[in-house]
Amino acid sequence: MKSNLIKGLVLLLFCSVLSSCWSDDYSREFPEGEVLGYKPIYSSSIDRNVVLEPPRTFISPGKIYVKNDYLFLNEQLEGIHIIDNSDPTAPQNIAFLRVHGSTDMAIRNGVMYVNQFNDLLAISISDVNNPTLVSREDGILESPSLNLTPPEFGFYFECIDSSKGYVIGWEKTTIENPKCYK
Amino acid sequence: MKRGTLYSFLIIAMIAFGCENGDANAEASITGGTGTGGSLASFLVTGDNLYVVTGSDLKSFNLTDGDGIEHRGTLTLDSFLETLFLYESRLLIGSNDAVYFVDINDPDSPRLISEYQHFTSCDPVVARGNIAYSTLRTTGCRWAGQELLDVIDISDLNNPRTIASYGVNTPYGLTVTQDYLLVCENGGISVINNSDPANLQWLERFTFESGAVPFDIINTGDVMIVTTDSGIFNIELSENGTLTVLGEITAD
Repeated sequence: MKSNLIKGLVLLLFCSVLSSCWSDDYSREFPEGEVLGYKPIYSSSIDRNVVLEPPRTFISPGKIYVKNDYLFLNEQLEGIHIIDNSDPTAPQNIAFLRVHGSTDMAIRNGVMYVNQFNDLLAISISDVNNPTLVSREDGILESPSLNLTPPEFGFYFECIDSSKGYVIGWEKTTIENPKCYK
Repeated sequence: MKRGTLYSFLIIAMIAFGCENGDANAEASITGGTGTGGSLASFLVTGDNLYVVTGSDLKSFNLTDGDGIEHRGTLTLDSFLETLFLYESRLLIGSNDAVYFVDINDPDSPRLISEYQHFTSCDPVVARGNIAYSTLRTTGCRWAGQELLDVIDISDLNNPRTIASYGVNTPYGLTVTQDYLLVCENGGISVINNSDPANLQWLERFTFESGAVPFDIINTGDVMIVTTDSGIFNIELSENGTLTVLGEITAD
């Protein structure tokens, strides 16, 4: 914690030298109307179903995991594209595994471990045509430092309203009349 | 949607795409063992253990076949942890202001060996043959600052030291092969001769015709799998360092 304090002091010193730092954002003017930014996702809104669906078009592809001839490509916070890559000249997008809130995954012995926001799920994929949720550990990935502000700097965000529950993640989307910035 | 309908859809889709892989093949190739994430991975499985970085925590889980997940250990560090890389039974952790080297000989209690500090930025890290490579990106991550590719001597993990630093532009993921270092940067992929780590040579800067921006590369041995902002590409790396697209799936 001491080193955090030192980092903070160094940061302050840095900010007093560089005008582009966030310290001058206190005087920032917030835009009226719609703007691209971050919106908090509250705990009450999780879709906990894990469902195999027809393949989807990629919109916001994120992390990837390769297992033999299959690629698993995360569609950020939506689920996982399942791709048959047995012929590298013609990869096939074969299905979409809906896991709301997922951002990353890994596979061991036919089981995919994937997050649903701060929950950790185990999904049997030994038959990729019939994935089955076999285990769920609620909130096991929670970390005290998470979720207080959006993951990226330089964006407006909807200020947190604690009456809606606790924040489990952030969605990059169009927001209106934001009053917070990072 | 009912499962039956879904199966029908999948079967139709497979026929439509001329996919000859039967279910038997699919099963044979997916069970058993572990796979590979990219350099930006925050989940990593090795042996019977899963490691996840979340916030400032590295969490370790013991996995048992079937459905078992047991949380065993947490190592809390001073930074925001982002990426995991396995190097000779150690974990290399990329974070927003340091690379951490972690001993996982006892998977239930990961132990910090040392750290390599840099100023605040976003960085994955990979390593091969006593040399670690870390890209330091500030674009879309932190305020303006220098973006670098750091080359770090890790022959003594207790005392990692900088060999060289190179200026790069908006770097993301990277991979190191037998012969080359490949870095997603500047909207393309740089192929770098790393035979002398103190004097990297940029050989080629590859860009996609579609303008897709690459984020990460996985080296499967046969092909390089590249993720981009619009989809995935299979790429062949030739012996002389040129890259050729074999196949792709991208958004229309």
